[in-house]
Amino acid sequence: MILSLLLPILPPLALSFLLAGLWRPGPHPFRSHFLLKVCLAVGLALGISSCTYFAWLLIGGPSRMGLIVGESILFIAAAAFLYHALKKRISSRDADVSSKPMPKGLLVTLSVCALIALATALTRFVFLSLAAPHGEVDALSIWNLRARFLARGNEQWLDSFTGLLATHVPDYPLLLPAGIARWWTYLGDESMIIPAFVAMLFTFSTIGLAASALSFLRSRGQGLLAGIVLLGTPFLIRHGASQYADIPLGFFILATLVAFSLYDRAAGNPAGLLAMAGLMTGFAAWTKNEGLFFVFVVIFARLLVVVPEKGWKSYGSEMRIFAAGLLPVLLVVFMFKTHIAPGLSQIVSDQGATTIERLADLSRYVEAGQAFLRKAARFGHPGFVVLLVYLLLMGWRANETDRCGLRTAGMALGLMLAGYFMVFIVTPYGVRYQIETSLDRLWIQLWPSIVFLFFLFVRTPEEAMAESAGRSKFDVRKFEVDQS
Amino acid sequence: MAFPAAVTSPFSSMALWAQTARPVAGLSLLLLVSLFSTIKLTKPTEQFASRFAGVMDIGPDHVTVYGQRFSTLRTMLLRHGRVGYVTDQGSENSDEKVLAIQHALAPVLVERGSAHALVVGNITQPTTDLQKFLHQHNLALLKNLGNGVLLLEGTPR
Repeated sequence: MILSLLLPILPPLALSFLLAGLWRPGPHPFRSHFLLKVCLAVGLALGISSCTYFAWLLIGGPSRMGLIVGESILFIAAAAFLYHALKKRISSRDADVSSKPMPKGLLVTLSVCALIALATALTRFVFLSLAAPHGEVDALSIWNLRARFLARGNEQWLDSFTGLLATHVPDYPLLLPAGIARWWTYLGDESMIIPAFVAMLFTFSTIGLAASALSFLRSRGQGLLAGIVLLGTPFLIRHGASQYADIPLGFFILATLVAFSLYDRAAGNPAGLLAMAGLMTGFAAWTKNEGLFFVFVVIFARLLVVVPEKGWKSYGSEMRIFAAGLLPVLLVVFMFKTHIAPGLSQIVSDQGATTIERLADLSRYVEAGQAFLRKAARFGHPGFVVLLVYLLLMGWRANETDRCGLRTAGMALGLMLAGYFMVFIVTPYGVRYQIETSLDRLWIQLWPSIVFLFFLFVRTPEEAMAESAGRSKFDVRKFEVDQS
Repeated sequence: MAFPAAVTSPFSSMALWAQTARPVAGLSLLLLVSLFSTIKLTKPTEQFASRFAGVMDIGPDHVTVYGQRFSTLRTMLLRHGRVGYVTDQGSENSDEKVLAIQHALAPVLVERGSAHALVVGNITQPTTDLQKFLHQHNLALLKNLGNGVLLLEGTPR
């Protein structure tokens, strides 16, 4: 039963797992850094399969057998090619950090806390999903409803879907609806477990990705702590279970920043990671309109980081590989935006002469600024107060090799926050309305990446413990020498 | 030999203690706040406990209920186009309920009102006089599917 439910995602997942391992982290092509590769593969699989399904609808119509056969041939051929490529590449690109060993007591404490947090979060997620298996209002009226139209539309899928677009927010992209509709089409049944399961995959892969990437880049303790902080963010779990697209978007933003950080760290700067960053950025744009803004943000942030350090030539060659991952997905987004849902988002189309007035209205900046500060100054997660106190107590010590990754993540998140802030200023719906309806959601899109950036920067528990222990020994030794 | 000031003075002992205690305090703070937030996930406790005790007691949500009620009607409609929607109860005309019916009948588009060739009727009050209701909305009954679900003929604009 469970295997048959999972069957539709297994071929793209296998292909994505091989893709995620192409840069060879660790000595073993498949086992090394398994969790990191699996978490990346989950997002890649859902992104790739939603694109192939959408392309299939455009090219071949909704024939179920055609979809299954066509995709199977495509995925198996690509997976066989990648498997062969992985097997052939003997040279290991192990860029693992030789982190300080963690005291056993600390490791046990962190592991137990992480397990408790994971069990509680998983249980809560399941109960929330049981109580609202179709998701909350936006999931019902946008994402899952569109999935139904795609899956049930038959030959007239475009007619009915276009009719729906005329009445419901027209230009929201289709990563989630197409991914779910594809799954239903494979099963031949609209099981309501699927949207909830997709939501669960995205929520817990986001947490797993932040934790495993930080385990790789900093230390195991740092990864566990990041995981505990994200699992201890109630809104992340609740919003994940609501089946909105903000958590998937947050996943792709995080995955892009992780890919850049891994690229800057890994020996020989493997091009595969840049292409993966491009793919993830493209999937962000295919998930929500904010993702399109993220495309520009990433390209600009990388420019600000790479050009002063390595020059234009280096930036150009980076961007060529990045574009190789990004452009295929952007082409899908372009097809959707020009042929299926032409027109601009209402928040953009409603701009005009009054935009200047809104931009010049100081009270809007004050109102939006206060709302942002209140959100940031929250005690507990998601908020900065606890993280700030933790930073002051632990100190910071980023590795030199992480400098580019840190700057890229910092710039990108800063620009995203600035962009969201400006949306609040120019919104035609009123600042108060915009704050009440979207600030929480926008914040949670960036929160996993903020946590990732924070733990990339702050001292690891291993470093802090080793240094304080070292200092005590040093002082005691000094005391003994002086005594003698 | 005099003891070095760095080690012997109470201030330096405190500094040493602070150096050791800081990471412990930092970790404790972060873990406690995170775990407290995790526990908050289980609130309200009573609700969580009752749900934990009886997962199977959670009744189907309204979207599922509407999906079941309107499933027969869906098989009778074409796979595209638009239908009207009328009901005898104001609350059944809410966005939430119409959305649930839209879910059930997709890919047919559901629009409030009777100005369509085909109209879906949703009767929820046992006291509703059907003939009067149809007359009032200028509709003719095509099929009564039971459970308050009607397929009606309307007057397209």
